[in-house]
Amino acid sequence: MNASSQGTLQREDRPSPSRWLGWRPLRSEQARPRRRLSSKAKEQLAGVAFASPWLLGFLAFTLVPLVLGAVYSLTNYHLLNSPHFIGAANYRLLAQNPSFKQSLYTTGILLLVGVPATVLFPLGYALLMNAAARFQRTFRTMMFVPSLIPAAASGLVWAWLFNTNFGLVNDALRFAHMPTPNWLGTVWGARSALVIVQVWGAGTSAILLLAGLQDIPPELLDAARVDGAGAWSRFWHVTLPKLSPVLFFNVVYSVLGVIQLFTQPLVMFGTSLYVALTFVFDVAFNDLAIGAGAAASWVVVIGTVAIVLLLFRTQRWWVHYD
Amino acid sequence: MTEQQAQRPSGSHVARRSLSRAGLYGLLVLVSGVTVIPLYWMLVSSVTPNATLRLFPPHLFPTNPHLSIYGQAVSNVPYLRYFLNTLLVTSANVVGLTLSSVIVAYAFARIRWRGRDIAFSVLLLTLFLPGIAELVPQYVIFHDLGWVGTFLPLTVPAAFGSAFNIFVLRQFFRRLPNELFEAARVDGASHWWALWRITVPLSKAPIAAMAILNFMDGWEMFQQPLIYLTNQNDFTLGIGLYSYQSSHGAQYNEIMAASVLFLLPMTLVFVLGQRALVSGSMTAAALKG
Repeated sequence: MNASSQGTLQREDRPSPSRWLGWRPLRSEQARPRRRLSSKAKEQLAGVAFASPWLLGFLAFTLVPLVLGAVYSLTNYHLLNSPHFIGAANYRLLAQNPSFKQSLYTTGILLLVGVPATVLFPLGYALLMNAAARFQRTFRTMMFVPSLIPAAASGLVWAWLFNTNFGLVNDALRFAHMPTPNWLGTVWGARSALVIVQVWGAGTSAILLLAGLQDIPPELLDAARVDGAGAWSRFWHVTLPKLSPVLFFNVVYSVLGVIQLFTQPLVMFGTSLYVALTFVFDVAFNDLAIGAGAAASWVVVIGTVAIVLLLFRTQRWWVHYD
Repeated sequence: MTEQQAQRPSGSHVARRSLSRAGLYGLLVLVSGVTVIPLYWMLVSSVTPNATLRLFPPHLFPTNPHLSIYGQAVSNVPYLRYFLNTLLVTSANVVGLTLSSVIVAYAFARIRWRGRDIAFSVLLLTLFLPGIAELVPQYVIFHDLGWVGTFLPLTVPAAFGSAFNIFVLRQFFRRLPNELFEAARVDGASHWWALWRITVPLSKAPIAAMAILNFMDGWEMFQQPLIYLTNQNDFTLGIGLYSYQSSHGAQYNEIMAASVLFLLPMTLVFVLGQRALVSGSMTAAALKG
């Protein structure tokens, strides 16, 4: 038993000499002793059994809903009426729906402005957190702690801070004799507010980058210094390439986060300014228009998948794994 | 300029250095100050009468904190009831997600079975699939099951694990020394035994880290309760607060007090569990794949 199971392991781990020569025993399964076959079947059974929670969950909560959603999107399904096939009509209607277009536009703006902001600000935080300084633990905690605030609470806090008449933000602007915008009641005010809230809560990205910075061997930076590289050059040619995998992760994480923004926009401005998800929510769960809601979510999903794939394609230009 | 000259610390060099020290501390104070101000203001607002909150210039330092506002918030929001609801949903998620993810992660890390690699690729893909893909049809399914208006849609899916938990734990389980598992197999031990007697004891830190993250996710869960909880008595803290804000938007101090009481348990769990998170160095391992 002992020897035979070890033999199995070796065979699977590295190719045997006979495989290098391109020779494979035919019907090897049957050539093996019975005992080993049954242990392999046992192994298979154990693997599937242990993985079954996720396998079943994937079927029930991902694959089936995914297919159902695609089907619903081609129907006029309303939760209280039975569905009828209407082809691509939902998609055509969405393409003409100004609220939907505006929701995608807002999410697009957040992608273009919010993603760079929530990647670059944490990079700055991480460099600050990595500097040798007194009270560094306190500073790090202070920069990180906003990311521990539940989205609903941070939405409520920022709605209060951005209050046009009594909010602290406009108090500060008034103090500096600057214009005091209606943050939550105007489209661009609300978009700017949302970006600021995202940057505020991006401490997790900073912590990941800090871990990445601390992983860079000091010898590497010392060697660059000896070679006469200045601070900027060391950052650009040593630090940044070493950080690029973490930065890439942060970009993807931020893109997925921005597209799925829901709680904060809902708490801060309800349905007066849609983002992609609050639009879907309003259509599917307030109007109970399942067909249209499913179609809108499919548009968002396809857009997300396309952006993520595109991001992965860019890796070879700027991400260095070594 | 020769090498020696370049390395000799000149007066201007020292000056520049202390200047950059000052700049560093200035930046640290500025950035950390700005990030903490919203939280500070939340605390101040939670003990300040509404009339005072409307004054300009704002009273930045409370001279006479009104702690009674917390009492009003607790009774107006039904805090205790929502707290217990939240605790129920969160506990189910912590136990369900963590336990099932540990078992599934073992299957991906330490058992060889046909289909494993394909299943794992699919699992990785789902990490990049936005949750909105399933949101609407899932609602229809739960509606047809008659689960809308109950806690079941918020708790039952947890029993099936989460792709993120499974992925991170699998990275750890894979790195455990092979010899231990070989020895167990030689002794005729089952995978079930190897899971609970070898894998779990050696992976306490990452498992604790996942449990903490699951607690935080469960505590701040918002979209699902908003969709599935229809009875006001069943609300969790997040949506309870949201609905209180929708109807009493001008009670800034009570809303801030309730927000503090909402985020406190979550922050507490994180702080208490921080050691596990730090010593696990989980993030680095997850990123390196």
